[in-house]
Amino acid sequence: MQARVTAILVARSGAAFLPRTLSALEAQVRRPDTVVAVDTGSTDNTHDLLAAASPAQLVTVAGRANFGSAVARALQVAAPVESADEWLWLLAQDNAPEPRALAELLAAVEIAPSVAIAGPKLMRWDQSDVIASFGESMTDFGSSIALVDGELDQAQHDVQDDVLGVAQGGMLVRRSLWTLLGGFDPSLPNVDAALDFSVRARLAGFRVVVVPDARVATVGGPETFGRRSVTESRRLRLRRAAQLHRRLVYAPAAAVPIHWLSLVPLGIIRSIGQLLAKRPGSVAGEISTSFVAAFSGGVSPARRNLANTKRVSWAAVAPLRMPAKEVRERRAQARETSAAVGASIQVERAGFISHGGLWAVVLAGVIGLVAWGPLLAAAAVAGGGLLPLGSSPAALWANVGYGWRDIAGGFTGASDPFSYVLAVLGSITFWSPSFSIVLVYLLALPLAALGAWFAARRFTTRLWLPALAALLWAVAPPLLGSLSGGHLGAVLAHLLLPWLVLASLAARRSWASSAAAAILFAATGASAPVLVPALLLCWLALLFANPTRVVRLVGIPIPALALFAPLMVEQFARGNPLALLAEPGLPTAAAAPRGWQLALGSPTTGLHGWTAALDSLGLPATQAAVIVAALLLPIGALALLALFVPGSRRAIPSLAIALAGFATAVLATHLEVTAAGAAETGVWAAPALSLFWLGLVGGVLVALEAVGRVAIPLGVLAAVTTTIVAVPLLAGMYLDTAAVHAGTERMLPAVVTAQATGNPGVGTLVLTPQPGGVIAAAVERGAGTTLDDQSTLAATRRSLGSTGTAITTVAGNLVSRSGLDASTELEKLAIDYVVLAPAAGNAAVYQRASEALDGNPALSPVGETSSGLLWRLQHDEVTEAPHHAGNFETPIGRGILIAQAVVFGLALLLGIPTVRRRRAVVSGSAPEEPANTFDEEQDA
Amino acid sequence: MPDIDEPIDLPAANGGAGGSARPETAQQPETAQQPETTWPGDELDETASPGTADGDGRVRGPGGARRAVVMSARIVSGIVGVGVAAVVLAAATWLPLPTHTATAPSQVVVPIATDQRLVCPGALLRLGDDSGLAATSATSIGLPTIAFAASAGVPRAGHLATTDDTSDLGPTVLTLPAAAAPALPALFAGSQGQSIQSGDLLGYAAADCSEARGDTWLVGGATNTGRTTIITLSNPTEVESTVSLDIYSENGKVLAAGTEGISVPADGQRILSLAGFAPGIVSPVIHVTSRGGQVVASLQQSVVRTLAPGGVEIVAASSGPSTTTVIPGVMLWNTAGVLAQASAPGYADLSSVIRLLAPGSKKATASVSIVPETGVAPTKGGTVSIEAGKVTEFPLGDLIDGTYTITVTSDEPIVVAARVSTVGSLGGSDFAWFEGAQPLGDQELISVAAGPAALLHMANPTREPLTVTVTSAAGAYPFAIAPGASVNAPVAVGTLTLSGQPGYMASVSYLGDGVLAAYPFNPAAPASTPIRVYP
Repeated sequence: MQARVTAILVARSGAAFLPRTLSALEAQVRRPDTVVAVDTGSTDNTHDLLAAASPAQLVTVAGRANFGSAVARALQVAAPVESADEWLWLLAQDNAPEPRALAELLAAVEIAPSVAIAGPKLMRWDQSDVIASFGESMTDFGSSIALVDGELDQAQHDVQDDVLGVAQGGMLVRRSLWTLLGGFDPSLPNVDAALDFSVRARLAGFRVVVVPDARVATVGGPETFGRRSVTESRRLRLRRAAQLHRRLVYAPAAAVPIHWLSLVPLGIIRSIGQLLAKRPGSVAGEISTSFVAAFSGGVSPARRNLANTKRVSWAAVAPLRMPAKEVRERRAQARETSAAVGASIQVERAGFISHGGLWAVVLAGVIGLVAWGPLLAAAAVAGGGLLPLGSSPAALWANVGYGWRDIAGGFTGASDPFSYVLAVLGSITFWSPSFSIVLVYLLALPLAALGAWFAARRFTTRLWLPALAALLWAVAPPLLGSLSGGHLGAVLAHLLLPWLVLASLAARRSWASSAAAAILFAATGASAPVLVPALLLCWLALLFANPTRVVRLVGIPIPALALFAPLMVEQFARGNPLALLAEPGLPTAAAAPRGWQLALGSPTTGLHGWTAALDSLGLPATQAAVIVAALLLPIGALALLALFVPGSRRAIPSLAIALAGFATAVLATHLEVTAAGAAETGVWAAPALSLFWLGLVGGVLVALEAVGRVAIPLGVLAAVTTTIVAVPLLAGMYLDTAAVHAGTERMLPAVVTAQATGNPGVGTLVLTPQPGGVIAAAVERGAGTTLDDQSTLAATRRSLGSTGTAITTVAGNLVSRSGLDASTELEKLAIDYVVLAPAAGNAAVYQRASEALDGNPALSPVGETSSGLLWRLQHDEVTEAPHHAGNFETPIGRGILIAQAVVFGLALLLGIPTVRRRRAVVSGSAPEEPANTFDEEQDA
Repeated sequence: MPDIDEPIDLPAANGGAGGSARPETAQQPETAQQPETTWPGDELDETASPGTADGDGRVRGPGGARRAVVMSARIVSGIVGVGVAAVVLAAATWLPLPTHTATAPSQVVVPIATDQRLVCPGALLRLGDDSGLAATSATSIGLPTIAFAASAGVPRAGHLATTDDTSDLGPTVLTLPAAAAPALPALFAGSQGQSIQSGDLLGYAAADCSEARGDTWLVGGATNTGRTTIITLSNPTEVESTVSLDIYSENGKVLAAGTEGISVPADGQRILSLAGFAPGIVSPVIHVTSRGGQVVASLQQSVVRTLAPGGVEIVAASSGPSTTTVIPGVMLWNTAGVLAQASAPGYADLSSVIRLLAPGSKKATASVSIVPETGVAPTKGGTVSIEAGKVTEFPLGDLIDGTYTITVTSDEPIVVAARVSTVGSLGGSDFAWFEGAQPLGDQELISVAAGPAALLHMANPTREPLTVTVTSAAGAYPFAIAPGASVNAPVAVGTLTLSGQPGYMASVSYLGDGVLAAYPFNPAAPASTPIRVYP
């Protein structure tokens, strides 16, 4: 009996494809007996085109019906079933069949009565020799997988016959089976609908085959039906939704609750995986599909339908699934192909070992080791702006977030973002957090060289220039000035800046780099808040320069915002937003440098120690400016020369960065927001000068690249003169001009420290005579205030507050001959010890204070200690300091920490380099390659 | 956007640039400054059309014309860049940019008023008992006349509870109870004067009653034959005091056992013989430091030359190490008589000297200027080199009778006092130590001890003319003191108020027939003044 074929052509806005499809249908060797055309919600002249082809039936379905329901609709109007050998040929608008397609399909089904579904070989619309789809299967876990995808057709797959499923386009299906199975599952609007149908056919006891000689064109998968384009994230979401639906349908009844319960947790875990795979756009889809699958009503009807038609067990279809081993092989193959795509261009870039990078780092390391050698055996660095860190990582992490700040008498408030940096830093040397600062000192120069080398390599093709940049960055005066003065935040900012530049530029192409840039931005901003405005400007410039890459760039400041937000709220509430720029850490007083001193890279008035050095040699100190200016002239001149030579595309941004850095430095010195005792002090300008120096070094690189043969002598000259400038700072530890020195982890006298081990609440009033006949009073708890205890909220406050007033009142009376009942007042403040720090600037106040304290019957002198004179309050037992809520004990503190953890967790997941780095693709190498083109959403 | 040029840049970068080979005009350096460009190398994975850049990366264009445009654009951008740099540097250096200063919070703490206590040196002492035995024990002889007064409140006098004095009579403690209202501390002053004529103690000694201190310099005394120097340490506080003595002599610092950790009980007095630590030294200077409670330290020096009593004096605290020391009111009387006796053996210390010590580690060069208080007698002086740690004496030389202000300036901090002797009509002699005085404040209360012919001296070492009004029961007398000048005026025994601009020094001297004494007035200790406290 002659088989009867009803072709069902479904179209939606397919005017671009229909002419070819309709004519191909017309040109069939074995033409379908009936053609039913379905127009589903077209917006173009699809209807006219279909009508012009004069099908047997033309159905117009209002709304955007999917393929499966359009077919069902067509069957309602098609001629009724006349014989058992009746077939449906499902075609979408873009499924232009080759002339023998239907004939071959029919030939295949005629020889095997058990075959109920036959699929053609789907070829690409515009490349008729490339297979788009040729059979589908499932993995052991039920995710659908195409058997062939994007391969040149060399008949290599033509041996295939039985498959688990076929694609919907060009599918020839026995009409009785279609009716029996109830058509496509309405819960699978596009993706996997045909696979699911095929699987149900298999379970109903029929065979599904592919027919190699039947070739039908296709533009895209079922998800592209009626759409101009489908984003990668949408495709993934549809695939995931279909997979979850099928999982719930196919699962044994007993396993359904388990699957159902696992939907959302799995969605979250897979979201993390998507982040690791650099597909942040898929995260929302993962979560939403989990919920949709969990609460969609389509599962029960589908399960009933499957149960009604199922004739054979799942074991019968198991051999058709793709084995796990093959799945792995295919994935590995895909990765190799993608890696091979770009491996075709080799611009010669400087090699780290072959072109001096290693030597520059080693040289910087040796200089650093010699300069900070006296710290080698130290447990901590003290002096300047440095204090030891908390005794354990737990103590460090307790000081982040919103909670009790144990400084300035104690208050509840937001921590500095720098406290997070300190917590991370201290956790590296978890056995002794303070030692991490020693490591920073010893490794600062080589680390700076390392970062600068890699950043510079990106800017230059001259092989030796990165090594020069590494050296210039390692002996940068702002870095050495910060090291010498104990400004840890500025040091870290200097070390992070090259990496931030590197990551920010790479962020345009890579999600991993974008996340890395975001984290580096946060760390740099936290270490040196004064840099944040300038960095934001650079970020805006980058955004404007790369309008098409905004997606990856726009999120860079988010982690920094997460860190700063609580502090911003508090400082704005105080009406003191400028205080956000205050340098975190121990406030230290220093004279503000003038503009020309900043231009010479000096964050202090001492011109990199040259003033003091000349003074000690008996030379006029005024000559320091001339000497330093002369020594830095090569750098400045080369940087400006960069504008005159080729390479302005790098020179102008570099010098703009230098300008931003210098302007920031000038502004910083005019922002006296912090009080160190009696002295109002400007913001430490070294981080801004690091930015200034960064721009200058960039300019120097551009200039040296362009000047030709004289580049090497000029480069050597710049490196040598800059190193000479650095000599007084490098020798600071030996000349005793550096503010920092090897210290212990103990800041308070040993007596107090010993007491603090048993009672961390032990209070010590530290009195420090100040120049001008005044005195500073601070209460320290336990073993003493640590660097992570410091808070800019305390350092930038403008009023004493009640606690501050109480402390200063007691202190003022203690250093005076006074009738105050010191015992009661000190107990009220939970103070057990009084330390009078040695006075460098004010002997009279020191004398007065020590006499008054000595003569106070409430205090008994303990003696002279390394921290100064010590007195103990004469009372029976040490006062118990009240317990204060920690950073995770209040709802607001918990909320802040969790929000920050989420932001950084996402950024870290996104930043972990999981995908192999795509190499540079040379133009012209890729177009012929049919597969593995990268979507914008995918990672590079 | 097209770059101005990139001849040597990466090929791929130039490919991108060449893709839109729009000629750059010289008017566009500003657009070039926009950082909207991408760095070379970033274009590496752009699918740029490679055909638009030639082999060496140079962009094809209309040849030389484009090159000229590029060159001029470069020069313009360079000049703009240099100009911007110069303007910014100049602006940063010379433009008076406003400074945002957040004033550090602080509080001026006025100490809660407490009892003020002044301790007088106490009655003159003799070492050993009447029989000449028990040479380490001291016995007081007679009682001084105590005068005291306060600007507010009712002061009361008492005695320290314990003393080494075998007569068990502690030195007088003057207490001014704290006022109920915690205002500024009331002014409070007291003094003692004692004439003695008991065996080998002969003469008159006067001293101010002073607040306890933790750090006192005593310049005076001697322990060579016939010279007795007694150190009294009085602790009026409630806390036991631990005192250390640093004794300097003409040979340098004296290392002696027992000078450290001398315990002075609370509300008690210790009496020590200097000879116990440093016998046979001619010119001691003693630095008294205390921990715990503070003490009032003073020296009592008496001289016996062979059998002739040579006078007695109480040496009060000197003004402490300073590069400028002013000794007002140095009284020389009967210099002829002194000169006549001084040549006799054992009478060398009758001559007038200035005793100087540089307690630091550096030698000092001091310049001494001796200016008469009144009259037109010429200024005398000289320069003296002082070895570090060694007490040096500088003779005042042959000055005529009169009162002088001695100013010693040096390059290193030094302590200074002057010793002057006088000889009476009967041949008896007495001496006095004139200590460096501290500058007084705008309002001071002073107490003039009962004694012969009290003379108030005031010196103005500042560069401004000062007017000091001396108010006594008899009325108020203003004294105008020119810069660098001094005045004196006879005053009655009792309490005086000095008011005027701060910065002047004052002392009182007593002169009788063969009787001489003096003491300077000291300002209230800083320990009770308000202080600014920063957190």
